[in-house]
Amino acid sequence: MNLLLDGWLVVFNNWSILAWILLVIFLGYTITLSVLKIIFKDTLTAAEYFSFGLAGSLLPFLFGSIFIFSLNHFQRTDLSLLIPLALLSLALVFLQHKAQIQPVQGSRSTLTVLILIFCVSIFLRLVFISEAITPLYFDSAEHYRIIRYLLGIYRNSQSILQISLPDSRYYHLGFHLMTAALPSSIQWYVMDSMMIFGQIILAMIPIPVFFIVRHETSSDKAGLLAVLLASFGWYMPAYAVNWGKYPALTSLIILQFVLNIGYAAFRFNLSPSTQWKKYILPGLGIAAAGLIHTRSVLVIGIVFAAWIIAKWWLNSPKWIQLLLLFLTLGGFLAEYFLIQSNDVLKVVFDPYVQSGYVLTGLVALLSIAAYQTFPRLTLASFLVILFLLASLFIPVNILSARYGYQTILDRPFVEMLLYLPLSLLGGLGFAGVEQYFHSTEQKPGYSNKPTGVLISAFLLGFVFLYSFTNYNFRPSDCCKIVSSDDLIAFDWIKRNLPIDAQILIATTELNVFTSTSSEGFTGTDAGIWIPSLAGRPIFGAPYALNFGKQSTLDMLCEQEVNYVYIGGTPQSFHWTQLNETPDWYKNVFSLPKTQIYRITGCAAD
Amino acid sequence: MKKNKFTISINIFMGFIVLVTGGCTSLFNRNSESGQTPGQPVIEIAYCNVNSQAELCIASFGTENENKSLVNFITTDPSFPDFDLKITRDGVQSAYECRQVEDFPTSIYCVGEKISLGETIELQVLSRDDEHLIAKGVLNISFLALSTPITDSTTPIETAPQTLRATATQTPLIPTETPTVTVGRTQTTPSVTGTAVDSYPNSSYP
Repeated sequence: MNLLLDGWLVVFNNWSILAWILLVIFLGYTITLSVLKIIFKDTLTAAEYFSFGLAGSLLPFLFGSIFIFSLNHFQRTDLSLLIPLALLSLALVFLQHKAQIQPVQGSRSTLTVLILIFCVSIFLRLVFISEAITPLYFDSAEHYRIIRYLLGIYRNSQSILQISLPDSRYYHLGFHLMTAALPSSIQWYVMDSMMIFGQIILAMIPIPVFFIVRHETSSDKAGLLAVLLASFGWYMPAYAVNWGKYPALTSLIILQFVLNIGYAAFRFNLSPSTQWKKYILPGLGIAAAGLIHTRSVLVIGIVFAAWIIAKWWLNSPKWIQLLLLFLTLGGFLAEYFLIQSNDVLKVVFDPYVQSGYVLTGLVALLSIAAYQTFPRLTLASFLVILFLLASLFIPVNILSARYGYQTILDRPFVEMLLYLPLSLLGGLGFAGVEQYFHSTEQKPGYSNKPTGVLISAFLLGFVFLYSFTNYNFRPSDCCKIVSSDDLIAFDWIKRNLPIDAQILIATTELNVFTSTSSEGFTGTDAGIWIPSLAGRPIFGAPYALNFGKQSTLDMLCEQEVNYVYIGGTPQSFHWTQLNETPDWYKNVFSLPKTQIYRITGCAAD
Repeated sequence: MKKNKFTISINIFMGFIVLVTGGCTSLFNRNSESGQTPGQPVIEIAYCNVNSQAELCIASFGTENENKSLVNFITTDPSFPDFDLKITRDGVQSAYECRQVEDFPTSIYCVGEKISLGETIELQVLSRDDEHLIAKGVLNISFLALSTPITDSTTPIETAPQTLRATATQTPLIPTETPTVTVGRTQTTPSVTGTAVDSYPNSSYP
């Protein structure tokens, strides 16, 4: 009941932002749909078109955002955003004219169910926002700063092509550009726009899974089961929103669009006049994936390699197939034990083993039926899992020495991605079971239809009920680093501290790769939001810093740090140490979850 | 014919979305202007409760410069009207100046005379426009900016630590895929001897 009330409260309080975001996505969807209809004509069902079109719906929005942020030939106003919207609408009218609208194939009810899943998902995902004061965790603070930075560029009528970016090392601005280009962001509802856009992205992510499964198996139910698994089967990828992984989550949609178009290119014999379109769309998709999250391009490469190897595997002699099977299983076991023995990496299996073992077990069983019926896609899915896990150990310096300590993919991203091959396997396996009962029906003397229907209904019902009864739509306590006390503190800082006051915040080392080298530092409490929300510079130190030591005070004085910010997380500074040295630190602001101390022990004081 | 129908449907749908958006925006703005009116019942003030969020509640009490008190209010209504607070202690009434946190309209705080732990106070929330009573309540100050001491197994740092620095200007300091803050080093080599901590929390699902 609370879920419903909280969902409605979020919708009621943010409906205009929600409407703008849905409008922009709808516009992008209809444009992509028109292009797909020009290419694929009547070969896809209505539900397949919906799934495929939604996967590509962010492309026009992304390129429209880049367009508006690249121009600097006119003074921008709030209404300037109507220009790309108008251009997109014109493109839509043109494409609608070009597209040969064919009678829709396939079941209308499947399309309705798919749309229903999408709408219900949006509503349920919005519940998350009812308990989130700001977007969660430390990543979000930086994404928010970048979006504000881009909005500054927009307001000053500058072009992103002519100014230096916030940081030359931060090279994928796709999500930030799209969020900054939302009309609601232009009106300064940046934080709300970022959170709502993120939740809608979560609702979009599972829908494209339908296309490949449905088209491969010709089973609507198999496609829907894959969507259910991708939506609520495991807590990933949606849980990553707790970590503020907005660009990585957004890239999953584009990634699936590229995979869908790649799959379609293999499956369809397109006419020579449409051959070029086979390359343009994936090209645009890969470019968009790179702009949103560079590592997703590597994932596209991994999937492509798995697809090619799977074909070669199946065409090999039997003994090579067996050898490869043992090598693959051996490789997977080796990876599993290597990962389990590594403190940083072992959590990669948490969503699928510790918490999701029931559905992972079910998918593993269904995979046998999947392999019997759809061997290539099943093998490719297995290989994708194998390669994703292997990428945790492959150093990126084989591609570029610039990122020495990093591996090709990082642990959080792999953890987010494993749902995709598993959902595909689940859908394919379900169709395999369906086909088994269908084929035995054809044999004389067999009448397994009721059994088949019963098992199909049981599998769908079980996944549906199990997912919904075990799913948590609310933010995790792990990552809520900002409390209402912190918001008061930020406002207090803005009003009471000098503009150049430097504030010490608690940090810790980032640790997502196998390497022992330093990966950088991140904020561990709300202090990381100070530059964005209180407009003061920060200076970080490990959260276990001992404030009772003279050396600490000397360091703070040397670095001209004026204040110490203590938030309310377990990894905040220990305020008791500051209270024990009143000659060095004076409390100037105190709420139960937030303390601010002025450093008074420096010589100048 | 089908094509025309489809185009018309799309245009109608988009027009509908724009109309609904526009209509709702004006409605929302009107609501924002109106806020609480004198005819509405007075809200009973209590401490905020996660399970039953009141329209206006108190999240915490605190201190400013050790000689003033802070009262942290939360409202569920972003358009809650501007108000001021009056607190009566031992029969003496004091005024507290309240302000909404910029960009977070559901967070409001008031600053005024110092209140001590354990005191029972009577609160009156009055509309700034016409001073009509919006909310009232009697509360005991059961906690006052004293969070539970945090203990963990980490060893305090003996030498000067590794440090990082970020500016408040429009210069986010972010490398590559995962945002971090640029590291600056002090002269002394750091020796962080604390327990290893994953930057991403152990993602055991709650």
